[in-house]
Amino acid sequence: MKHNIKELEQRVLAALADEAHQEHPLHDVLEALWEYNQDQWSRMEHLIRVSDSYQDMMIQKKKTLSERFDKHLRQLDKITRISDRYQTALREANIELEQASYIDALTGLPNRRKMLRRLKAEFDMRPESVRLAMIDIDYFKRINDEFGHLIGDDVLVSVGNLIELTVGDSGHISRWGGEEFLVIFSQVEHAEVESCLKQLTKVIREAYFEAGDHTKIRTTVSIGVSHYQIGDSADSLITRADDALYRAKDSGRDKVVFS
Amino acid sequence: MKDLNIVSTQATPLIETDSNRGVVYMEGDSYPENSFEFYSELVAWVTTYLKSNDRPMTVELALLYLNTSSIKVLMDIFDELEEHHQKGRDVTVNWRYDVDNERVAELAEEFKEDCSFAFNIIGQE
Repeated sequence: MKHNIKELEQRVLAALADEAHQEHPLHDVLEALWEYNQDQWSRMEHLIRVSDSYQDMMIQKKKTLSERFDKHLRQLDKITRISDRYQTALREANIELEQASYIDALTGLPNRRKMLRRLKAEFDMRPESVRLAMIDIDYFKRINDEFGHLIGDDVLVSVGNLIELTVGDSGHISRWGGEEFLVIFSQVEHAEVESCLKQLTKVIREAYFEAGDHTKIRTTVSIGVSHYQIGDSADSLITRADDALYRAKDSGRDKVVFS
Repeated sequence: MKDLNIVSTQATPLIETDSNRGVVYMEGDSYPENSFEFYSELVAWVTTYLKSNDRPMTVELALLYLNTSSIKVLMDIFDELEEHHQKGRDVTVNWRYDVDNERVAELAEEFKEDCSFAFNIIGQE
């Protein structure tokens, strides 16, 4: 088609240029038609150029948008990953801290905080079966004064270990504070608690604790025991164990007193 | 070019810039209430520095905790550095961490992934 158009154009141009046709009645009409045709062509070309540049612009815009979209998607993906790792790290650090907050740093035993939680749990479930033993090392201040705090700490750790060993699975032991340990017996009969604690006083009485320089330290413990009575709260149970402990102290130490 | 000297708080890091040497220094935790606002000055500084010359740029980091929006800001900065590095600029990031806190290094690795410039993760005793 294109080829035919070119040929036709050549023929029209030749006819218009031919001297012999200048006076022909159709010459003016053909010339007007030719100019109109040329004008239409140039309009068409202009239109195509504009349309092409619009298309270019849209393609470019789409490309820019999709690049930005891809970039944001990549960032989002990465941010999520990094943020997740931070959250995991924080969560783990939190758990570690929480666990550490329940452990006595010196003896490695559960601390007072942990013990109060356990006591509350036991007390909520079956208060009538809860027995508490408050254990205090006799004349501990003298050990500290005579051998120094480091040796005193060693004795604390050793006594803690001996209590843990002797009580075994019968009760839950904790370091209550200073030279005091608290044991919760749950669902353990009075006779068993009594024999266990008497055994404990014997174990401690017979134990030798290293003080360096081949010196051995000997010590004893006093123990106060309370058993749930109607109207008791966890606090009053602790108070009664404490009171019993003081009675054990007042009546000569190295013994178990029941409230 | 006005340099930055932002003191650290519990929730925001220390930020210092040195336009003569082309250095940004950041140290601490980053969990501002509004990270984009907090970092706007730094982002502007980086853009201005990169536009105003073609000298090398170094980012010295000793960052620990970053909240999500701080991560976004930091990634934007790294992306901008990457763009300029692609055009031939000398760019270095040195991320220092305590060897006892290996997690920080793992996180820095995540940032490093998309960067083709020198990104050094340096453990310190």
